[in-house]
Amino acid sequence: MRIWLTVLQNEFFIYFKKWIFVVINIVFFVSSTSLFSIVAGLQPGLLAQWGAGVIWVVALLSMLLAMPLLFQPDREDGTLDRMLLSTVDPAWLSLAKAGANWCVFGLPLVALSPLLAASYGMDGSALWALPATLALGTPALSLLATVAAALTAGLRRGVGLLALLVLPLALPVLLFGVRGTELAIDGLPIGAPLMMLGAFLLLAAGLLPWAAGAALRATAN
Amino acid sequence: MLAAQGLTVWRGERRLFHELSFHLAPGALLLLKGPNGSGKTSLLRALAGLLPLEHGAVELNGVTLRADPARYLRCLGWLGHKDGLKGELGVRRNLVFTLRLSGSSANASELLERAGLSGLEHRAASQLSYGQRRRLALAGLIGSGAPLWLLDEPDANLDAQGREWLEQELDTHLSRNGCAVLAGHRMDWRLQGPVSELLLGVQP
Repeated sequence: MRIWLTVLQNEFFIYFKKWIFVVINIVFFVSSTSLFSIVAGLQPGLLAQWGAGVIWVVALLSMLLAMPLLFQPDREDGTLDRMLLSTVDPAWLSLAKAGANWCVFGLPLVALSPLLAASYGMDGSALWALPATLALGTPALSLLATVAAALTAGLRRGVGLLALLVLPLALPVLLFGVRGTELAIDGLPIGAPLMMLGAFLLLAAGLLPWAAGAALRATAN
Repeated sequence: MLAAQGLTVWRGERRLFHELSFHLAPGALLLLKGPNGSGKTSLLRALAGLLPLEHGAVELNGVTLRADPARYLRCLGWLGHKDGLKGELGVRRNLVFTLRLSGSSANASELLERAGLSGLEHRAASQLSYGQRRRLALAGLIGSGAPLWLLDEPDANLDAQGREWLEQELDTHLSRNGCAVLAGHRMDWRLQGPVSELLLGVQP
């Protein structure tokens, strides 16, 4: 537990020093979604319907942008070897890294999403449905990212492969996230998609850190 | 303490060594020698379990990595070619992280003093010289309390004073019944304990 907290603390500290990546991520998220709403020129009602999909897809791409920071630096500076040779299971280290990655890159997206939802003409329950789906979906994406990042950390040009690995696996999260928000826009209850996203998150938290740990060991040489 | 039996390791299409066996008693040091590309680093990584073995087994204090990974890894201290430090983190934070990873409760301030780094506790590791970084990485290894040290060119970037310090620390470790496998090009290690050498050749 102590080492878990140490890893978490260190990750926050390192991201704090790499603040420019966090800013780039937020700017990418806000500017891409805003650009779409400006250039699409859709009717206000239609814009809200499209909004959920656009914001979710851009959120997914923003999370992808942050992925190479998960294990690549550790591989390059040799700390990954130290982690693999510690008595702590790498699964716990992956979980801590996914947690920090989400807090730094996912949480700002969740926090900013009501503003973007409003700019897409969403109102009422949709204004909280979008952040609620993102709050459940983006941590699952961070966990998924740790597995892909662990698999590709040893490759020099692994970033493209990262995207290819994650995008299809992220599809269920994306579908339920968008569907939940669309239901809220239509004034319908969104309990079912939220529960599905919650189930995905639990499943991801239970399984994916172990997969990431195994991937780190398998690609250590 | 360390027994390697019939190790065969491949790296891609190249076989690095075949049926390699050796034994290391407590208090002894094994020097791995050989030209560039002979597999010194790979052998160290294979002993640590970071590189898969095609054949053979490594026993450390009677256990293999597969049989009891926690016990095996607790006995193993690692100093790789790279220092394993986070440039963004301070000197002390880096050391505490390394110590926690090895499950050690050694006193970080004491270790920094031994490594000649006291006064630099809060400086970012990226602002240290290469030699100071090596000292910090060595301090983590010393503090790990592991009986077997695997060292890959530990004297890289160290000045004459640093090398002397490293020799003292190696002597202390060996005198406490620890053992070490050291890969490098330096020939003139002045150590008190028994030193054996293993010369690796480049396979075609």
